[in-house]
Amino acid sequence: MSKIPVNDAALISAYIQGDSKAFETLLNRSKSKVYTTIYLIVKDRYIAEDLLQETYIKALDVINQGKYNEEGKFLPWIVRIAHNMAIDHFRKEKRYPKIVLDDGSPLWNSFQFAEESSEDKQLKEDMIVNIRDLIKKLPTEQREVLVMRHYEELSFQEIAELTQVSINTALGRMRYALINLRKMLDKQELAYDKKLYPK
Amino acid sequence: MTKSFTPNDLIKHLYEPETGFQQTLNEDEKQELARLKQVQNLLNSAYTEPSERSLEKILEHARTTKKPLAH
Repeated sequence: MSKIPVNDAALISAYIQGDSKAFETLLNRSKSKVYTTIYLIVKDRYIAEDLLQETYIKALDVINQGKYNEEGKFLPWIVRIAHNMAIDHFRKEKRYPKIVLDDGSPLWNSFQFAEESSEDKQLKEDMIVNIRDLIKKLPTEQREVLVMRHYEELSFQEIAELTQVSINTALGRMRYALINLRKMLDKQELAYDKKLYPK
Repeated sequence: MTKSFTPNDLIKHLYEPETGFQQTLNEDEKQELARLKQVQNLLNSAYTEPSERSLEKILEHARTTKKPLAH
């Protein structure tokens, strides 16, 4: 029985040598981060799954052509491909999402999560689903920085360069993203309390 | 002795922490940092998984495009 190497670079080498199991390990390690990144940008499960496939297929083609040269940093590399795929998707479709922060409304767009939200689910599970919905409600610039910093793990310096703003602006956008999320969560908590403990 | 930090400094520290930074914060800044940390922790729970079907397609591509296993 062959032992699967732990290091990402070693897994890529093993895949290049013909071990497809090595790629499966890489996929299992990275899929959640890559998929979440795409999903939070495109906000649609079906489109996100299509783009996920395109992302990995593009990565596989680069690796198979011997052009991969990321010195073992597979995850940031593939997350970067995923991010670009998601942004390109909007450019092609000419429908970059228009985000409206509707603080005044207790409702949120949850149609993508309809299957996950059964009546039996616990409050905590609801909260996990809701946080994704709340991220999707953030203004585009705030959501962009949040996804890039938290999920793609880019530094604020890198985000500033990629979005062509100062580091201070990137930090400010991140700050407002977190503050807005907190406000929305507080509001939801209040709504839950009212539902659980009606007067 | 504590010194004053901008709100952006707290965000920078939250994601790119520097050793000793926290000791220089005043009580209000520590509380704000703790509140931001709570939201940060919640964001970690937002990871979502793709369907098995989409993963299978990727694995199929990986299998069909790889070179034969070297012996």
